[in-house]
Amino acid sequence: MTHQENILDKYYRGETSLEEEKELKAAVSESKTKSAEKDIFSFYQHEVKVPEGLEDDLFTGIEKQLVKKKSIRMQLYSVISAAAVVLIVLSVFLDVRNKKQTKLEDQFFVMEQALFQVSESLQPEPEPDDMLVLWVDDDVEIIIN
Amino acid sequence: MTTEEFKNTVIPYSVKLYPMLFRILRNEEETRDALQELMLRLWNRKDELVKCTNQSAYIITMARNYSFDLLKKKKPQAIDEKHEYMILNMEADGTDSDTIERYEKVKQVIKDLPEKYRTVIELRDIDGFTFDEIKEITGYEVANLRVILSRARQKVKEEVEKIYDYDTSGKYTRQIL
Repeated sequence: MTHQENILDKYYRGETSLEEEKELKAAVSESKTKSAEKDIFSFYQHEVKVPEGLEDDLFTGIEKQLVKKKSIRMQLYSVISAAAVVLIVLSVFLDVRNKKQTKLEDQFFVMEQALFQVSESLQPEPEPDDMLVLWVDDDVEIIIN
Repeated sequence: MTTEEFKNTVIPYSVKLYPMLFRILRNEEETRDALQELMLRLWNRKDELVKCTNQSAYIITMARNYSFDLLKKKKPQAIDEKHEYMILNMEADGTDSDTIERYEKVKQVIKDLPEKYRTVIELRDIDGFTFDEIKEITGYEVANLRVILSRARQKVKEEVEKIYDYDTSGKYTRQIL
Protein backbone atom coordinates (compact mmCIF):
# COMPACT_ATOMS: atom_id res chain seq x y z
CA MET A 1 0.00 0.00 0.00
CA THR A 2 1.49 3.34 -1.06
CA HIS A 3 1.61 6.40 1.15
CA GLN A 4 -1.29 8.02 -0.72
CA GLU A 5 -3.43 4.88 -0.69
CA ASN A 6 -2.90 4.92 3.03
CA ILE A 7 -4.03 8.57 3.12
CA LEU A 8 -7.19 7.67 1.15
CA ASP A 9 -8.04 4.98 3.71
CA LYS A 10 -7.35 7.42 6.51
CA TYR A 11 -9.57 9.94 4.71
CA TYR A 12 -12.51 7.53 4.74
CA ARG A 13 -11.88 6.79 8.43
CA GLY A 14 -11.99 10.56 9.17
CA GLU A 15 -8.42 10.50 10.44
CA THR A 16 -6.59 12.70 7.94
CA SER A 17 -5.23 16.14 8.74
CA LEU A 18 -6.24 19.17 6.66
CA GLU A 19 -2.82 19.12 4.96
CA GLU A 20 -3.17 15.45 3.99
CA GLU A 21 -6.67 16.10 2.66
CA LYS A 22 -5.42 19.02 0.59
CA GLU A 23 -2.67 16.89 -0.90
CA LEU A 24 -5.07 14.00 -1.59
CA LYS A 25 -7.74 16.20 -3.18
CA ALA A 26 -5.19 17.90 -5.42
CA ALA A 27 -3.71 14.58 -6.59
CA VAL A 28 -7.11 13.00 -7.36
CA SER A 29 -8.70 16.09 -8.96
CA GLU A 30 -5.80 16.56 -11.38
CA SER A 31 -5.99 13.00 -12.72
CA LYS A 32 -7.67 12.29 -16.04
CA THR A 33 -9.16 8.96 -14.95
CA LYS A 34 -12.81 9.13 -13.94
CA SER A 35 -13.62 8.05 -10.42
CA ALA A 36 -16.13 8.87 -7.68
CA GLU A 37 -13.39 10.59 -5.69
CA LYS A 38 -12.41 12.74 -8.68
CA ASP A 39 -16.01 13.95 -9.09
CA ILE A 40 -16.44 14.49 -5.38
CA PHE A 41 -13.11 16.26 -4.81
CA SER A 42 -13.51 18.40 -7.94
CA PHE A 43 -16.92 19.46 -6.69
CA TYR A 44 -15.44 20.40 -3.30
CA GLN A 45 -12.72 22.44 -4.96
CA HIS A 46 -15.27 24.21 -7.13
CA GLU A 47 -17.47 25.02 -4.14
CA VAL A 48 -14.60 26.48 -2.13
CA LYS A 49 -13.75 29.11 -4.75
CA VAL A 50 -13.33 32.44 -3.02
CA PRO A 51 -13.32 35.69 -5.06
CA GLU A 52 -9.88 37.15 -5.68
CA GLY A 53 -8.82 39.93 -3.36
CA LEU A 54 -11.61 39.16 -0.89
CA GLU A 55 -9.45 39.78 2.19
CA ASP A 56 -8.14 43.11 0.87
CA ASP A 57 -11.67 44.24 -0.06
CA LEU A 58 -12.98 43.41 3.39
CA PHE A 59 -10.11 45.23 5.07
CA THR A 60 -10.64 48.28 2.85
CA GLY A 61 -14.32 48.18 3.83
CA ILE A 62 -13.37 48.20 7.53
CA GLU A 63 -10.99 51.14 6.99
CA LYS A 64 -13.68 53.10 5.12
CA GLN A 65 -16.11 52.55 7.96
CA LEU A 66 -13.50 53.72 10.47
CA VAL A 67 -12.85 56.90 8.46
CA LYS A 68 -16.61 57.47 8.21
CA LYS A 69 -17.05 57.00 11.96
CA LYS A 70 -14.11 59.32 12.64
CA SER A 71 -15.64 61.92 10.34
CA ILE A 72 -19.02 61.63 12.08
CA ARG A 73 -17.28 61.91 15.46
CA MET A 74 -15.38 65.01 14.27
CA GLN A 75 -18.62 66.57 13.03
CA LEU A 76 -20.20 65.83 16.38
CA TYR A 77 -17.25 67.43 18.18
CA SER A 78 -17.58 70.52 15.93
CA VAL A 79 -21.28 70.86 16.72
CA ILE A 80 -20.62 70.40 20.44
CA SER A 81 -17.77 72.95 20.33
CA ALA A 82 -19.95 75.49 18.51
CA ALA A 83 -22.74 74.94 21.02
CA ALA A 84 -20.28 75.40 23.89
CA VAL A 85 -18.98 78.68 22.41
CA VAL A 86 -22.54 79.98 21.98
CA LEU A 87 -23.32 78.98 25.56
CA ILE A 88 -20.24 80.75 26.94
CA VAL A 89 -20.92 83.93 24.94
CA LEU A 90 -24.56 83.87 26.00
CA SER A 91 -23.73 83.37 29.67
CA VAL A 92 -21.14 86.20 29.60
CA PHE A 93 -23.68 88.49 27.88
CA LEU A 94 -26.40 87.61 30.38
CA ASP A 95 -24.01 88.12 33.29
CA VAL A 96 -22.98 91.58 32.03
CA ARG A 97 -26.62 92.50 31.48
CA ASN A 98 -27.53 91.24 34.90
CA LYS A 99 -24.74 93.27 36.54
CA LYS A 100 -25.83 96.36 34.60
CA GLN A 101 -29.40 95.92 35.79
CA THR A 102 -28.25 95.44 39.42
CA LYS A 103 -26.22 98.64 39.18
CA LEU A 104 -29.27 100.54 37.91
CA GLU A 105 -31.40 99.09 40.69
CA ASP A 106 -28.79 100.20 43.24
CA GLN A 107 -28.73 103.72 41.80
CA PHE A 108 -32.52 103.86 41.85
CA PHE A 109 -32.54 102.70 45.47
CA VAL A 110 -30.08 105.46 46.46
CA MET A 111 -32.19 108.02 44.61
CA GLU A 112 -35.34 106.73 46.29
CA GLN A 113 -33.69 107.01 49.71
CA ALA A 114 -32.59 110.56 48.97
CA LEU A 115 -36.06 111.58 47.81
CA PHE A 116 -37.56 109.96 50.86
CA GLN A 117 -35.27 111.95 53.12
CA VAL A 118 -36.15 115.18 51.26
CA SER A 119 -39.86 114.46 51.58
CA GLU A 120 -39.42 113.64 55.27
CA SER A 121 -37.75 117.00 55.82
CA LEU A 122 -40.65 118.77 54.11
CA GLN A 123 -43.35 117.11 56.26
CA PRO A 124 -44.80 119.20 59.25
CA GLU A 125 -43.88 118.14 62.75
CA PRO A 126 -46.13 115.33 63.92
CA GLU A 127 -48.45 115.92 66.85
CA PRO A 128 -47.19 114.60 70.16
CA ASP A 129 -48.34 111.12 70.90
CA ASP A 130 -49.38 111.79 74.52
CA MET A 131 -52.45 114.01 73.65
CA LEU A 132 -55.88 112.75 74.68
CA VAL A 133 -58.61 113.86 72.30
CA LEU A 134 -61.91 113.99 74.12
CA TRP A 135 -64.16 115.73 71.56
CA VAL A 136 -63.84 116.92 68.03
CA ASP A 137 -66.55 118.48 65.85
CA ASP A 138 -66.87 121.40 63.44
CA ASP A 139 -66.77 124.01 66.13
CA VAL A 140 -65.16 122.45 69.20
CA GLU A 141 -62.04 120.38 69.92
CA ILE A 142 -61.45 119.13 73.46
CA ILE A 143 -57.87 117.93 73.92
CA ILE A 144 -55.98 117.13 77.12
CA ASN A 145 -52.12 117.24 77.03
CA MET B 1 -6.13 45.47 18.75
CA THR B 2 -4.82 47.63 15.91
CA THR B 3 -6.24 47.55 12.40
CA GLU B 4 -3.06 45.80 11.27
CA GLU B 5 -3.46 43.07 13.91
CA PHE B 6 -7.11 42.71 12.90
CA LYS B 7 -6.02 42.34 9.28
CA ASN B 8 -3.54 39.61 10.15
CA THR B 9 -5.57 37.61 12.66
CA VAL B 10 -9.28 38.03 11.92
CA ILE B 11 -9.62 38.90 8.22
CA PRO B 12 -8.03 35.56 7.09
CA TYR B 13 -11.08 33.76 8.54
CA SER B 14 -13.12 35.26 5.72
CA VAL B 15 -11.64 32.68 3.32
CA LYS B 16 -13.09 29.86 5.42
CA LEU B 17 -16.33 31.65 6.17
CA TYR B 18 -17.06 32.65 2.57
CA PRO B 19 -18.20 29.21 1.33
CA MET B 20 -20.34 28.69 4.43
CA LEU B 21 -22.14 32.01 3.93
CA PHE B 22 -22.32 31.49 0.17
CA ARG B 23 -24.19 28.21 0.73
CA ILE B 24 -26.84 30.20 2.58
CA LEU B 25 -27.05 33.25 0.32
CA ARG B 26 -26.17 31.76 -3.09
CA ASN B 27 -25.09 35.16 -4.35
CA GLU B 28 -21.57 36.54 -4.51
CA GLU B 29 -22.47 40.15 -3.80
CA GLU B 30 -24.73 39.29 -0.88
CA THR B 31 -22.08 36.98 0.54
CA ARG B 32 -19.45 39.74 0.34
CA ASP B 33 -21.82 42.17 2.05
CA ALA B 34 -22.62 39.62 4.74
CA LEU B 35 -18.92 38.96 5.34
CA GLN B 36 -18.25 42.69 5.50
CA GLU B 37 -20.98 43.08 8.10
CA LEU B 38 -19.61 40.14 10.07
CA MET B 39 -16.09 41.61 10.01
CA LEU B 40 -17.45 44.98 11.18
CA ARG B 41 -19.24 43.28 14.06
CA LEU B 42 -16.00 41.53 14.97
CA TRP B 43 -14.11 44.84 14.75
CA ASN B 44 -16.66 46.50 17.04
CA ARG B 45 -16.09 43.71 19.55
CA LYS B 46 -12.32 43.71 19.22
CA ASP B 47 -11.86 44.48 22.93
CA GLU B 48 -13.79 41.32 23.87
CA LEU B 49 -11.93 39.42 21.18
CA VAL B 50 -8.54 40.40 22.59
CA LYS B 51 -9.52 39.16 26.06
CA CYS B 52 -10.62 35.77 24.65
CA THR B 53 -8.35 32.81 25.31
CA ASN B 54 -9.74 31.08 22.22
CA GLN B 55 -10.16 33.76 19.55
CA SER B 56 -10.89 31.20 16.86
CA ALA B 57 -13.87 29.87 18.84
CA TYR B 58 -15.14 33.40 19.37
CA ILE B 59 -14.99 34.23 15.66
CA ILE B 60 -16.58 30.93 14.64
CA THR B 61 -19.38 31.35 17.19
CA MET B 62 -20.11 34.85 15.95
CA ALA B 63 -20.10 33.61 12.37
CA ARG B 64 -22.44 30.76 13.28
CA ASN B 65 -24.90 33.08 15.04
CA TYR B 66 -24.70 35.52 12.17
CA SER B 67 -25.38 32.76 9.63
CA PHE B 68 -28.46 31.73 11.67
CA ASP B 69 -29.64 35.35 11.47
CA LEU B 70 -29.10 35.29 7.72
CA LEU B 71 -31.03 32.05 7.40
CA LYS B 72 -33.96 33.58 9.28
CA LYS B 73 -33.91 36.72 7.13
CA LYS B 74 -33.30 34.94 3.84
CA LYS B 75 -36.40 34.76 1.71
CA PRO B 76 -37.13 31.22 0.57
CA GLN B 77 -35.73 30.98 -2.94
CA ALA B 78 -37.36 28.71 -5.45
CA ILE B 79 -35.24 25.66 -6.23
CA ASP B 80 -35.38 26.44 -9.94
CA GLU B 81 -34.02 29.91 -9.29
CA LYS B 82 -31.07 28.52 -7.32
CA HIS B 83 -30.46 25.88 -9.92
CA GLU B 84 -30.51 28.42 -12.73
CA TYR B 85 -28.07 30.65 -10.86
CA MET B 86 -25.67 27.77 -10.30
CA ILE B 87 -25.71 26.71 -13.94
CA LEU B 88 -25.18 30.28 -15.19
CA ASN B 89 -22.35 30.78 -12.73
CA MET B 90 -20.57 27.61 -13.81
CA GLU B 91 -21.10 28.28 -17.50
CA ALA B 92 -19.49 31.68 -16.98
CA ASP B 93 -16.51 29.87 -15.42
CA GLY B 94 -16.09 27.85 -18.62
CA THR B 95 -17.10 24.58 -16.99
CA ASP B 96 -18.38 22.04 -19.55
CA SER B 97 -21.88 20.59 -19.34
CA ASP B 98 -20.69 17.08 -18.36
CA THR B 99 -18.75 18.49 -15.41
CA ILE B 100 -21.72 20.70 -14.43
CA GLU B 101 -23.91 17.60 -14.45
CA ARG B 102 -21.44 15.66 -12.31
CA TYR B 103 -21.17 18.53 -9.83
CA GLU B 104 -24.92 18.67 -9.58
CA LYS B 105 -25.14 14.94 -8.90
CA VAL B 106 -22.53 15.20 -6.11
CA LYS B 107 -24.29 18.27 -4.76
CA GLN B 108 -27.59 16.41 -4.71
CA VAL B 109 -26.01 13.40 -2.96
CA ILE B 110 -24.63 15.71 -0.24
CA LYS B 111 -27.95 17.53 0.00
CA ASP B 112 -29.75 14.21 0.56
CA LEU B 113 -27.50 13.25 3.47
CA PRO B 114 -28.92 13.41 7.00
CA GLU B 115 -28.48 16.95 8.31
CA LYS B 116 -25.62 16.29 10.72
CA TYR B 117 -23.68 14.32 8.08
CA ARG B 118 -24.22 17.11 5.55
CA THR B 119 -23.19 19.86 7.94
CA VAL B 120 -20.01 18.12 9.05
CA ILE B 121 -18.88 17.08 5.57
CA GLU B 122 -19.50 20.60 4.20
CA LEU B 123 -17.63 22.27 7.06
CA ARG B 124 -14.65 19.92 6.70
CA ASP B 125 -14.38 19.06 3.01
CA ILE B 126 -15.58 22.32 1.49
CA ASP B 127 -14.77 24.99 4.08
CA GLY B 128 -11.66 23.31 5.50
CA PHE B 129 -12.44 23.90 9.20
CA THR B 130 -10.40 22.07 11.81
CA PHE B 131 -12.14 19.54 14.05
CA ASP B 132 -11.98 21.99 16.97
CA GLU B 133 -13.65 24.67 14.87
CA ILE B 134 -16.36 22.24 13.72
CA LYS B 135 -16.86 21.30 17.36
CA GLU B 136 -17.47 25.02 18.09
CA ILE B 137 -20.01 25.28 15.29
CA THR B 138 -21.90 22.02 15.78
CA GLY B 139 -21.35 21.20 19.43
CA TYR B 140 -20.29 17.59 18.65
CA GLU B 141 -17.22 16.16 20.35
CA VAL B 142 -14.17 15.60 18.14
CA ALA B 143 -14.29 11.79 18.44
CA ASN B 144 -17.96 11.84 17.42
CA LEU B 145 -17.16 14.23 14.57
CA ARG B 146 -14.60 11.83 13.13
CA VAL B 147 -17.21 9.04 13.13
CA ILE B 148 -19.86 11.26 11.52
CA LEU B 149 -17.37 12.47 8.92
CA SER B 150 -16.20 8.95 8.11
CA ARG B 151 -19.78 7.74 7.59
CA ALA B 152 -20.70 10.81 5.57
CA ARG B 153 -17.69 10.43 3.25
CA GLN B 154 -18.38 6.74 2.68
CA LYS B 155 -22.07 7.45 2.05
CA VAL B 156 -21.25 10.15 -0.52
CA LYS B 157 -18.85 7.84 -2.29
CA GLU B 158 -21.37 4.96 -2.36
CA GLU B 159 -24.15 7.17 -3.70
CA VAL B 160 -21.97 8.76 -6.40
CA GLU B 161 -20.76 5.32 -7.47
CA LYS B 162 -24.36 4.16 -7.76
CA ILE B 163 -25.07 7.01 -10.22
CA TYR B 164 -22.06 6.63 -12.47
CA ASP B 165 -20.99 3.00 -12.08
CA TYR B 166 -17.23 3.53 -12.01
CA ASP B 167 -16.50 -0.20 -12.56
CA THR B 168 -14.52 -1.46 -9.56
CA SER B 169 -15.11 1.05 -6.81
CA GLY B 170 -11.98 2.81 -5.69
CA LYS B 171 -9.81 0.85 -8.10
CA TYR B 172 -9.08 3.80 -10.38
CA THR B 173 -8.37 6.19 -7.58
CA ARG B 174 -5.85 3.76 -6.17
CA GLN B 175 -4.27 3.49 -9.63
CA ILE B 176 -3.96 7.30 -9.74
CA LEU B 177 -2.31 7.31 -6.35
